[in-house]
Amino acid sequence: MPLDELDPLIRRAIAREVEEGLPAVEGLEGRVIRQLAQPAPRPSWRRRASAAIAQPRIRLGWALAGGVAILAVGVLIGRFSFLGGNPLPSAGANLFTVAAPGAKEVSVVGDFSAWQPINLFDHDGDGVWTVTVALPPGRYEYAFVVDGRWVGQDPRAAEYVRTFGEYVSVRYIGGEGL
Amino acid sequence: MRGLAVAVALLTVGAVAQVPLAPAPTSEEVLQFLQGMPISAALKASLAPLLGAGLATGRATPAVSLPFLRELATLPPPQAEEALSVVYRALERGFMVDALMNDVLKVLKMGQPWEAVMTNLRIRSNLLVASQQVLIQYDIVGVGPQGPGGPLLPQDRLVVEMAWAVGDFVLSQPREPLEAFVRSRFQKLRGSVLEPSLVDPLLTALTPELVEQIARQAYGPIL
Repeated sequence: MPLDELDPLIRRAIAREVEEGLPAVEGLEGRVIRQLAQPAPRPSWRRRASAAIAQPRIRLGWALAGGVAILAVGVLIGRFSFLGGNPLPSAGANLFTVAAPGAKEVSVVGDFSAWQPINLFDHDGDGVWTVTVALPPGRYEYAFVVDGRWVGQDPRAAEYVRTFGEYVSVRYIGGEGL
Repeated sequence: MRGLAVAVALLTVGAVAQVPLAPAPTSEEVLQFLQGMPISAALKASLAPLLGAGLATGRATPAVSLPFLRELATLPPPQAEEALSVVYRALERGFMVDALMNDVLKVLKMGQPWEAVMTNLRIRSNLLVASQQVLIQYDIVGVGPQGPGGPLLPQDRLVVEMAWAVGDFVLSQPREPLEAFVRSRFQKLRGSVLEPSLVDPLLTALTPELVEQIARQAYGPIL
Protein backbone atom coordinates (compact mmCIF):
# COMPACT_ATOMS: atom_id res chain seq x y z
CA MET A 1 0.00 0.00 0.00
CA PRO A 2 1.39 3.42 -0.88
CA LEU A 3 2.20 5.67 2.05
CA ASP A 4 -0.24 8.45 1.01
CA GLU A 5 -3.16 5.94 1.41
CA LEU A 6 -1.89 4.62 4.74
CA ASP A 7 -1.91 7.99 6.46
CA PRO A 8 -5.73 8.61 6.23
CA LEU A 9 -6.34 5.05 7.47
CA ILE A 10 -4.26 5.69 10.56
CA ARG A 11 -6.02 8.99 11.23
CA ARG A 12 -9.45 7.35 11.01
CA ALA A 13 -8.40 4.54 13.33
CA ILE A 14 -7.18 7.02 15.98
CA ALA A 15 -10.39 9.08 15.71
CA ARG A 16 -12.47 5.90 16.23
CA GLU A 17 -10.41 4.95 19.32
CA VAL A 18 -10.87 8.40 20.84
CA GLU A 19 -14.64 8.33 20.23
CA GLU A 20 -14.96 4.92 21.86
CA GLY A 21 -12.93 6.07 24.93
CA LEU A 22 -14.83 9.28 25.58
CA PRO A 23 -17.50 7.84 27.93
CA ALA A 24 -14.71 6.63 30.30
CA VAL A 25 -13.11 10.09 30.36
CA GLU A 26 -16.41 11.91 31.01
CA GLY A 27 -16.74 12.93 34.67
CA LEU A 28 -13.15 11.93 35.44
CA GLU A 29 -12.30 15.31 36.96
CA GLY A 30 -15.29 15.14 39.32
CA ARG A 31 -14.44 11.64 40.39
CA VAL A 32 -10.87 12.65 41.19
CA ILE A 33 -12.02 15.64 43.26
CA ARG A 34 -14.50 13.50 45.22
CA GLN A 35 -11.78 10.94 45.93
CA LEU A 36 -9.40 13.61 47.16
CA ALA A 37 -12.08 15.08 49.43
CA GLN A 38 -12.51 11.77 51.25
CA PRO A 39 -10.20 11.19 54.30
CA ALA A 40 -7.33 8.92 53.45
CA PRO A 41 -7.44 5.47 55.08
CA ARG A 42 -5.10 5.41 58.15
CA PRO A 43 -2.07 3.22 57.41
CA SER A 44 -1.00 0.59 59.96
CA TRP A 45 1.42 1.64 62.75
CA ARG A 46 4.17 -0.44 61.19
CA ARG A 47 3.78 1.36 57.86
CA ARG A 48 3.76 4.74 59.65
CA ALA A 49 6.86 3.86 61.73
CA SER A 50 8.80 2.68 58.67
CA ALA A 51 7.82 5.83 56.79
CA ALA A 52 8.95 8.03 59.68
CA ILE A 53 12.32 6.28 59.92
CA ALA A 54 12.80 6.20 56.14
CA GLN A 55 12.05 9.90 55.77
CA PRO A 56 13.19 11.57 58.97
CA ARG A 57 11.96 15.11 59.43
CA ILE A 58 13.91 15.81 62.66
CA ARG A 59 16.57 18.47 62.68
CA LEU A 60 20.12 17.31 63.28
CA GLY A 61 20.46 19.34 66.49
CA TRP A 62 17.35 17.77 68.01
CA ALA A 63 18.48 14.31 66.96
CA LEU A 64 21.84 14.80 68.69
CA ALA A 65 20.16 16.18 71.81
CA GLY A 66 17.86 13.14 71.90
CA GLY A 67 20.83 10.79 71.54
CA VAL A 68 22.68 12.49 74.37
CA ALA A 69 19.56 12.34 76.56
CA ILE A 70 19.16 8.60 75.90
CA LEU A 71 22.85 8.03 76.66
CA ALA A 72 22.54 10.01 79.89
CA VAL A 73 19.56 7.87 80.95
CA GLY A 74 21.66 4.79 80.23
CA VAL A 75 24.53 6.13 82.33
CA LEU A 76 22.14 6.86 85.19
CA ILE A 77 20.77 3.33 84.95
CA GLY A 78 24.33 2.02 85.07
CA ARG A 79 25.29 4.24 87.98
CA PHE A 80 22.35 3.65 90.23
CA SER A 81 21.06 0.19 89.55
CA PHE A 82 23.87 -1.85 88.03
CA LEU A 83 24.08 -5.10 89.98
CA GLY A 84 23.14 -3.28 93.17
CA GLY A 85 26.52 -1.54 93.11
CA ASN A 86 27.59 1.05 95.62
CA PRO A 87 28.55 4.16 93.63
CA LEU A 88 31.07 6.31 95.40
CA PRO A 89 30.35 9.97 96.05
CA SER A 90 31.66 12.34 93.41
CA ALA A 91 32.99 9.43 91.42
CA GLY A 92 34.26 10.09 87.93
CA ALA A 93 34.49 7.77 84.95
CA ASN A 94 38.04 6.58 84.43
CA LEU A 95 38.94 4.74 81.31
CA PHE A 96 41.48 1.96 81.54
CA THR A 97 42.58 0.73 78.16
CA VAL A 98 45.36 -1.52 76.92
CA ALA A 99 46.26 -2.89 73.50
CA ALA A 100 46.48 -6.65 73.74
CA PRO A 101 45.72 -8.24 70.35
CA GLY A 102 45.03 -11.94 70.63
CA ALA A 103 44.72 -11.91 74.41
CA LYS A 104 42.15 -14.16 76.04
CA GLU A 105 41.76 -12.46 79.40
CA VAL A 106 42.68 -8.92 80.40
CA SER A 107 42.08 -7.27 83.76
CA VAL A 108 43.18 -4.21 85.69
CA VAL A 109 44.31 -4.54 89.29
CA GLY A 110 44.92 -1.61 91.58
CA ASP A 111 44.63 -0.18 95.03
CA PHE A 112 41.14 1.07 94.13
CA SER A 113 39.99 -2.56 94.10
CA ALA A 114 42.39 -3.90 96.77
CA TRP A 115 44.31 -5.43 93.83
CA GLN A 116 41.36 -7.63 92.93
CA PRO A 117 40.92 -7.96 89.14
CA ILE A 118 38.38 -5.94 87.18
CA ASN A 119 37.89 -7.40 83.71
CA LEU A 120 38.46 -5.40 80.55
CA PHE A 121 36.53 -6.11 77.35
CA ASP A 122 37.28 -6.05 73.65
CA HIS A 123 33.75 -5.89 72.26
CA ASP A 124 34.69 -5.11 68.67
CA GLY A 125 37.63 -7.52 68.49
CA ASP A 126 40.15 -4.85 67.47
CA GLY A 127 42.62 -5.92 70.17
CA VAL A 128 42.03 -2.85 72.35
CA TRP A 129 40.64 -3.83 75.74
CA THR A 130 38.81 -1.28 77.84
CA VAL A 131 36.84 -0.74 81.00
CA THR A 132 35.60 2.41 82.67
CA VAL A 133 35.74 2.43 86.45
CA ALA A 134 34.01 4.99 88.64
CA LEU A 135 36.63 6.44 91.00
CA PRO A 136 36.62 9.40 93.39
CA PRO A 137 39.51 11.89 93.36
CA GLY A 138 42.77 10.39 94.59
CA ARG A 139 46.10 8.84 93.67
CA TYR A 140 45.77 5.34 92.29
CA GLU A 141 48.35 2.65 91.58
CA TYR A 142 47.42 -0.02 89.07
CA ALA A 143 48.64 -2.51 86.51
CA PHE A 144 47.12 -4.61 83.75
CA VAL A 145 47.23 -8.38 83.80
CA VAL A 146 47.18 -9.79 80.26
CA ASP A 147 46.72 -13.57 80.18
CA GLY A 148 48.45 -13.76 83.56
CA ARG A 149 51.31 -11.44 82.54
CA TRP A 150 51.94 -8.26 84.57
CA VAL A 151 51.83 -5.12 82.42
CA GLY A 152 52.79 -2.32 84.78
CA GLN A 153 53.57 0.55 82.42
CA ASP A 154 50.45 2.15 81.01
CA PRO A 155 51.25 4.91 78.48
CA ARG A 156 48.31 6.89 79.91
CA ALA A 157 49.79 6.91 83.43
CA ALA A 158 51.02 10.05 85.15
CA GLU A 159 54.02 8.21 86.55
CA TYR A 160 55.41 4.77 87.29
CA VAL A 161 56.60 3.27 90.54
CA ARG A 162 59.01 0.36 90.55
CA THR A 163 58.87 -2.21 93.32
CA PHE A 164 61.19 -5.22 93.30
CA GLY A 165 61.81 -4.90 89.58
CA GLU A 166 58.14 -4.63 88.60
CA TYR A 167 56.39 -1.43 87.64
CA VAL A 168 53.01 -0.11 88.57
CA SER A 169 51.32 2.82 86.89
CA VAL A 170 49.99 5.78 88.81
CA ARG A 171 47.05 7.97 87.97
CA TYR A 172 46.00 11.14 89.79
CA ILE A 173 42.32 11.91 89.60
CA GLY A 174 41.22 15.43 90.38
CA GLY A 175 43.39 18.13 91.90
CA GLU A 176 46.55 19.38 90.28
CA GLY A 177 47.87 15.93 89.46
CA LEU A 178 45.63 15.61 86.43
CA MET B 1 13.78 0.32 63.01
CA ARG B 2 17.19 1.89 62.58
CA GLY B 3 16.40 4.66 65.06
CA LEU B 4 15.12 2.18 67.63
CA ALA B 5 18.29 0.11 67.32
CA VAL B 6 20.45 3.19 67.80
CA ALA B 7 18.46 4.18 70.92
CA VAL B 8 18.79 0.69 72.40
CA ALA B 9 22.52 0.65 71.64
CA LEU B 10 23.00 4.05 73.30
CA LEU B 11 21.07 2.93 76.37
CA THR B 12 23.13 -0.25 76.63
CA VAL B 13 26.45 1.54 76.17
CA GLY B 14 25.49 4.07 78.81
CA ALA B 15 24.34 1.45 81.26
CA VAL B 16 27.39 -0.81 81.05
CA ALA B 17 30.04 1.79 80.32
CA GLN B 18 30.96 2.43 83.94
CA VAL B 19 31.87 -0.36 86.29
CA PRO B 20 31.17 0.66 89.87
CA LEU B 21 33.53 -0.88 92.37
CA ALA B 22 32.23 -3.95 94.12
CA PRO B 23 29.99 -3.19 97.09
CA ALA B 24 32.13 -2.80 100.21
CA PRO B 25 31.72 -5.45 102.90
CA THR B 26 30.72 -4.44 106.40
CA SER B 27 33.05 -4.11 109.39
CA GLU B 28 31.23 -7.06 110.98
CA GLU B 29 32.09 -9.25 108.01
CA VAL B 30 35.76 -8.30 108.38
CA LEU B 31 35.86 -9.08 112.11
CA GLN B 32 33.93 -12.29 111.58
CA PHE B 33 36.41 -13.40 108.93
CA LEU B 34 39.31 -12.62 111.26
CA GLN B 35 37.81 -14.95 113.88
CA GLY B 36 37.73 -17.78 111.33
CA MET B 37 41.34 -17.37 110.23
CA PRO B 38 43.88 -20.13 110.98
CA ILE B 39 46.07 -17.95 113.20
CA SER B 40 46.80 -18.05 116.91
CA ALA B 41 43.94 -17.29 119.29
CA ALA B 42 46.16 -14.78 121.11
CA LEU B 43 46.78 -12.71 117.98
CA LYS B 44 43.08 -12.84 117.10
CA ALA B 45 42.14 -11.69 120.59
CA SER B 46 44.56 -8.76 120.56
CA LEU B 47 44.00 -7.73 116.95
CA ALA B 48 40.18 -7.85 116.92
CA PRO B 49 39.55 -4.79 119.16
CA LEU B 50 42.29 -2.78 117.44
CA LEU B 51 40.96 -3.62 114.00
CA GLY B 52 37.42 -2.92 115.20
CA ALA B 53 38.50 0.53 116.39
CA GLY B 54 40.42 1.10 113.16
CA LEU B 55 37.37 0.19 111.08
CA ALA B 56 35.17 2.44 113.20
CA THR B 57 37.46 5.47 112.85
CA GLY B 58 38.46 5.00 109.19
CA ARG B 59 42.05 3.94 109.85
CA ALA B 60 41.14 0.71 108.09
CA THR B 61 38.34 0.20 105.59
CA PRO B 62 36.38 -3.01 105.06
CA ALA B 63 36.96 -2.79 101.29
CA VAL B 64 40.70 -3.32 101.81
CA SER B 65 40.73 -5.23 105.10
CA LEU B 66 38.61 -8.14 103.94
CA PRO B 67 40.57 -8.92 100.73
CA PHE B 68 43.77 -8.55 102.81
CA LEU B 69 42.61 -11.07 105.43
CA ARG B 70 41.28 -13.40 102.74
CA GLU B 71 44.65 -13.35 100.98
CA LEU B 72 46.51 -13.99 104.24
CA ALA B 73 44.18 -16.90 105.01
CA THR B 74 45.52 -18.70 101.93
CA LEU B 75 49.12 -18.46 103.24
CA PRO B 76 50.83 -20.60 105.87
CA PRO B 77 49.74 -19.35 109.34
CA PRO B 78 53.25 -18.15 110.35
CA GLN B 79 53.39 -15.87 107.30
CA ALA B 80 49.90 -14.55 107.94
CA GLU B 81 50.80 -13.84 111.57
CA GLU B 82 54.01 -12.11 110.54
CA ALA B 83 52.14 -9.66 108.31
CA LEU B 84 49.30 -9.22 110.79
CA SER B 85 51.78 -8.34 113.54
CA VAL B 86 53.04 -5.37 111.51
CA VAL B 87 49.51 -4.18 110.86
CA TYR B 88 48.74 -4.67 114.55
CA ARG B 89 51.64 -2.40 115.58
CA ALA B 90 50.63 0.24 113.07
CA LEU B 91 47.04 0.24 114.31
CA GLU B 92 48.24 0.40 117.89
CA ARG B 93 50.06 3.65 117.08
CA GLY B 94 47.00 5.08 115.38
CA PHE B 95 48.23 4.92 111.77
CA MET B 96 45.97 4.50 108.79
CA VAL B 97 46.67 0.95 107.63
CA ASP B 98 44.84 0.62 104.29
CA ALA B 99 48.02 1.54 102.42
CA LEU B 100 50.01 -1.11 104.33
CA MET B 101 47.45 -3.81 103.57
CA ASN B 102 47.16 -2.72 99.95
CA ASP B 103 50.93 -2.95 99.54
CA VAL B 104 50.91 -6.53 100.80
CA LEU B 105 48.21 -7.35 98.26
CA LYS B 106 50.14 -5.57 95.51
CA VAL B 107 53.43 -7.38 96.07
CA LEU B 108 51.62 -10.72 96.36
CA LYS B 109 49.73 -10.00 93.14
CA MET B 110 53.07 -9.28 91.44
CA GLY B 111 54.06 -12.82 92.31
CA GLN B 112 56.98 -11.77 94.51
CA PRO B 113 58.34 -14.17 97.15
CA TRP B 114 57.24 -13.79 100.76
CA GLU B 115 60.58 -12.23 101.72
CA ALA B 116 59.87 -9.37 99.32
CA VAL B 117 56.40 -8.93 100.77
CA MET B 118 57.79 -8.62 104.29
CA THR B 119 60.75 -6.44 103.29
CA ASN B 120 58.33 -4.02 101.65
CA LEU B 121 55.99 -4.14 104.65
CA ARG B 122 58.81 -3.43 107.12
CA ILE B 123 60.10 -0.52 105.06
CA ARG B 124 56.63 0.99 104.80
CA SER B 125 55.94 0.47 108.49
CA ASN B 126 59.26 2.01 109.54
CA LEU B 127 58.70 4.97 107.27
CA LEU B 128 55.25 5.56 108.76
CA VAL B 129 56.80 5.89 112.21
CA ALA B 130 59.72 7.96 110.95
CA SER B 131 57.47 10.29 108.95
CA GLN B 132 55.27 10.96 111.94
CA GLN B 133 58.27 11.64 114.19
CA VAL B 134 59.98 13.96 111.74
CA LEU B 135 56.85 15.87 110.74
CA ILE B 136 56.07 16.45 114.42
CA GLN B 137 59.68 17.50 115.02
CA TYR B 138 59.43 20.08 112.21
CA ASP B 139 56.04 21.32 113.52
CA ILE B 140 54.34 20.39 110.28
CA VAL B 141 51.79 18.20 112.09
CA GLY B 142 50.60 18.09 115.68
CA VAL B 143 51.06 15.14 117.98
CA GLY B 144 47.54 13.79 117.37
CA PRO B 145 45.85 10.99 119.29
CA GLN B 146 48.67 8.46 118.64
CA GLY B 147 46.26 5.64 119.28
CA PRO B 148 43.71 3.50 117.49
CA GLY B 149 40.51 4.95 118.94
CA GLY B 150 40.96 8.70 118.52
CA PRO B 151 39.37 10.62 115.69
CA LEU B 152 41.10 10.46 112.35
CA LEU B 153 42.74 13.78 111.47
CA PRO B 154 43.62 15.17 108.02
CA GLN B 155 47.29 15.14 109.08
CA ASP B 156 47.14 11.35 109.41
CA ARG B 157 46.81 11.13 105.64
CA LEU B 158 49.74 13.52 105.26
CA VAL B 159 51.92 11.19 107.33
CA VAL B 160 50.92 8.20 105.19
CA GLU B 161 51.63 10.05 101.95
CA MET B 162 55.04 11.19 103.22
CA ALA B 163 55.91 7.62 104.20
CA TRP B 164 54.80 6.35 100.80
CA ALA B 165 56.63 9.01 98.82
CA VAL B 166 59.90 8.30 100.64
CA GLY B 167 59.24 4.55 100.44
CA ASP B 168 58.67 4.69 96.68
CA PHE B 169 61.96 6.54 96.34
CA VAL B 170 63.83 4.05 98.52
CA LEU B 171 62.40 1.07 96.61
CA SER B 172 62.61 2.41 93.07
CA GLN B 173 65.80 4.50 93.30
CA PRO B 174 64.91 7.10 90.65
CA ARG B 175 67.58 9.42 89.23
CA GLU B 176 66.20 12.63 90.71
CA PRO B 177 67.13 13.71 94.25
CA LEU B 178 64.90 12.54 97.12
CA GLU B 179 63.68 16.02 98.01
CA ALA B 180 62.64 16.77 94.41
CA PHE B 181 60.89 13.40 94.18
CA VAL B 182 58.89 14.02 97.36
CA ARG B 183 58.09 17.62 96.44
CA SER B 184 56.79 16.57 93.04
CA ARG B 185 54.63 13.89 94.66
CA PHE B 186 53.01 16.33 97.07
CA GLN B 187 52.43 18.88 94.32
CA LYS B 188 50.41 16.20 92.51
CA LEU B 189 48.57 15.16 95.66
CA ARG B 190 47.66 18.77 96.42
CA GLY B 191 43.96 19.16 95.82
CA SER B 192 43.19 15.55 94.91
CA VAL B 193 44.13 13.58 98.02
CA LEU B 194 45.25 16.34 100.37
CA GLU B 195 43.85 19.77 101.08
CA PRO B 196 46.11 22.59 99.88
CA SER B 197 46.01 24.03 103.42
CA LEU B 198 47.68 20.84 104.60
CA VAL B 199 50.22 20.51 101.78
CA ASP B 200 51.38 24.09 101.49
CA PRO B 201 53.09 24.28 104.92
CA LEU B 202 54.84 21.01 104.13
CA LEU B 203 56.06 22.26 100.74
CA THR B 204 57.39 25.38 102.46
CA ALA B 205 59.21 23.40 105.12
CA LEU B 206 60.46 20.60 102.85
CA THR B 207 64.24 20.30 102.73
CA PRO B 208 66.67 17.56 101.72
CA GLU B 209 67.57 17.14 105.41
CA LEU B 210 63.93 16.56 106.40
CA VAL B 211 63.30 13.80 103.88
CA GLU B 212 66.71 12.19 104.36
CA GLN B 213 66.06 12.00 108.08
CA ILE B 214 62.96 9.94 107.30
CA ALA B 215 64.61 7.78 104.64
CA ARG B 216 67.50 6.79 106.94
CA GLN B 217 65.11 4.77 109.08
CA ALA B 218 63.69 2.69 106.23
CA TYR B 219 65.98 -0.31 106.54
CA GLY B 220 66.40 -0.41 110.29
CA PRO B 221 64.69 -2.87 112.61
CA ILE B 222 60.93 -2.46 112.85
CA LEU B 223 60.26 0.68 114.85
